[in-house]
Amino acid sequence: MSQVKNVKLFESILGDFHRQGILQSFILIGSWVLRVYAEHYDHNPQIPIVSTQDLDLLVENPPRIKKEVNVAELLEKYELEASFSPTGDQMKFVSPDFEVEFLFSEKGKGEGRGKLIKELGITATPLRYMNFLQNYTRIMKYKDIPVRVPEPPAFVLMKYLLIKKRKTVQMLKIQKDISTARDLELFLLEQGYEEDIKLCYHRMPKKWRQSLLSILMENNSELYNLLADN
Amino acid sequence: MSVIVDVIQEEYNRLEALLKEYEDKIRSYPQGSLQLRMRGKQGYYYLSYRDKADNRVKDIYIGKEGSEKVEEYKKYIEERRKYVQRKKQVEKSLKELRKLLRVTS
Repeated sequence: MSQVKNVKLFESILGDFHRQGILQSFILIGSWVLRVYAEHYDHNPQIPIVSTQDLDLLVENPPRIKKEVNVAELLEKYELEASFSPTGDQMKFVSPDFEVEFLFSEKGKGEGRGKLIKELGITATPLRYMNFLQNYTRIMKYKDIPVRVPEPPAFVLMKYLLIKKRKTVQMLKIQKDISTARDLELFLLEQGYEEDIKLCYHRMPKKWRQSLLSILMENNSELYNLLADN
Repeated sequence: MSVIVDVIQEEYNRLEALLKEYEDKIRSYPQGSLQLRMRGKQGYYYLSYRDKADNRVKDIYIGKEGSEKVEEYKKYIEERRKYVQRKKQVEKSLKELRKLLRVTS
């Protein structure tokens, strides 16, 4: 499959979820959100659009699902089949070139168990720190479809923060995350998002802020000077 | 075409567009560096640059030390320097992607 087909698949899934009235129940996170940002900001080349093959959709905690829809059935027509973890409490929808995963913002350390979303017939994988993202969302239109996405300043700060959470064997992913965060940060600074970035930063718990500052310093981020002085 | 080649190609196209944008921005700022010359206790700033027409270094008077115009020029030079750095980074990434595209095609 080509990336063009993956982009079309991404658009089709968003379209289907929108028509079924469930798209607003999710926050699009992960690399595909960059395409939405790019379209929102008139395809500014400063916004990186390298997308992985994983489409990540975050279910809010607590979930706000208004409709019952069989998601597995919707995804089946794209040959995305449900695949379960060995323990059976985590699931993904997979095809050879594409994956859809539902995530759930886990509060505190949690137990790492999947969260069953009965109305949609899915199990969402718990992930820490996502609670922060769900507090900073907005709707952006992508191909005329209203998509809930994290505010770009929150997304970039979270991208940096999660670098340390990746295992060192994921070096390639770490480099990609750094590169994405740096490109997006430069774009946001040029667009005058300084105050929004500061606001997001100050609303983070103290430990996160400390950790973030050390990551920004290690990566020569221009955000370091902006945030360290405040 | 495989997904990976497409992704690389897409990123390559984005970086090429970004390179052009940075080049345009660099061109929009004054070229050269600021030089401070002291006359007695007063400092005077000059913009020093190499004129491409005759390949000679030229100095243009900007203003007295601390003047609004000098501060403005300092900001321009700093901005230009920032874009030159970013341009270098983009060129480096393009070079890497070019290699990858050669290997994968």
